[in-house]
Amino acid sequence: MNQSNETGDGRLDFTEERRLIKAAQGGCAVSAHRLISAHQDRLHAFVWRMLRNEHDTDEVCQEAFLRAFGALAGFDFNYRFSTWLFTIGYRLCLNQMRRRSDHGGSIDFAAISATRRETDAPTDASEAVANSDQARQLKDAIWGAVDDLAPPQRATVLLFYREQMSCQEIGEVLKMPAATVKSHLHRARAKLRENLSGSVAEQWADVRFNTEAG
Amino acid sequence: MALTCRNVQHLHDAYLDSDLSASMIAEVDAHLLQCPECQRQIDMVRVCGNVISRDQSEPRAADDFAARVLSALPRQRAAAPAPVVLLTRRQSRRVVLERVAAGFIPAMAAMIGLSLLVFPAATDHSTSPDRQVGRVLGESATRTAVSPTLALGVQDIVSPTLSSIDNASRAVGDLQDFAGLTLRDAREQLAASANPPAAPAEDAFSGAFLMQMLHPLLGVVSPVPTEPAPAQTDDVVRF
Repeated sequence: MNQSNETGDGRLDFTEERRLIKAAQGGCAVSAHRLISAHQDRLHAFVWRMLRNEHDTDEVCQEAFLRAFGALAGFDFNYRFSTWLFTIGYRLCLNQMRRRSDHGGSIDFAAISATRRETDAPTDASEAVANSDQARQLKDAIWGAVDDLAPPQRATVLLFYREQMSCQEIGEVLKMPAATVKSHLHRARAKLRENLSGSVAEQWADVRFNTEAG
Repeated sequence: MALTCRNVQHLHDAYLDSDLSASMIAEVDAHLLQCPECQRQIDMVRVCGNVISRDQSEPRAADDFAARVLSALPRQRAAAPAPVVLLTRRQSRRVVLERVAAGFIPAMAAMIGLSLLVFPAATDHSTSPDRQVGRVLGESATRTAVSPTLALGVQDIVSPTLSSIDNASRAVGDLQDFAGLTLRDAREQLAASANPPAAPAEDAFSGAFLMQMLHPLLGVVSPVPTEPAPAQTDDVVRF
């Protein structure tokens, strides 16, 4: 993979993304593979945070890519591929949530805990600091508070912080005006503050030190 | 005037998103230095943002995820109940033209045959109605010895009839010419579309007229499954 056409976090730059989309529109499987590889982990993380179910996440991600590539011929080059993909992914997440609530399904918290323990294994010295027991408790508390947010607020927070999208881009994904996105972000932050201001409030100073050091 | 805690709470989001002016940021910073509670509130949201953006503890997609998606693309199409090859507008027009031409030729042949049967002398355009009437009346006069006045009266009645018959025969002749021209142009269009380097026969009036006549039909049967999909290769994906 040509790293020079990717940003530091593995994301494709605009020119390279455009080139790959055009090649994929012509049926180039290599370009299609690169497009998928560049977006699969980001979409997977977003969908997993929305659904919290490994099986559903895999299914939704695959369906999102299939739909995106099925309609690739009509792709509007004024938008980023990720915006389009996350738009499809978000709609599929909402459908899945609706279906799950209709069928009385539940989130697999056991799998979540097991996965978190496995993926949180420290890989180097700086990670070891961030993954101390105290930091892990706080991260769990934060993600727990994120899970308690309503779907639009959760999606807004994830796209804003993780995907670093602007309110305008988030509005395109969630199909709502940018002002509404700002409102969701404001309410989400207020809810996070409210949910996290209890027992863990005294530990914020240490966490601030750790995250700033990382 | 120094900001109060309530003022700062209203400015939380703008402060975190750097949407404040430099002077306002300085005002908020001054308040945060002397207010631990507001500082903690701001830190709480900031740390939340840091964790959400940096903590990638989610399970990652499977290593073969991209390959699975790619392999599912052709399978998805194969699983469709009726595989439809989406042709371009030009291809679909050609297909429809072929089908219509196949039915059009026998129909026109039947029409021409019927017209020849009904109007056996219609092809003789050089014969004017007056000459025919004169010949008929002349023969009648010699056979039955009718008076010229009566013959002229009969001519007044018969002449418009024969004239209209002659007009009809001319119309049939024109229709034959038109049909021949149209079919020839249609064949040329088919040959031109089958052979891309050939110049398109867009200037043929009759061809354009036929296309205009067939336009509603083209709209109805636009996606036609005629050409078989090309064989799938490993490095090409059909979307």
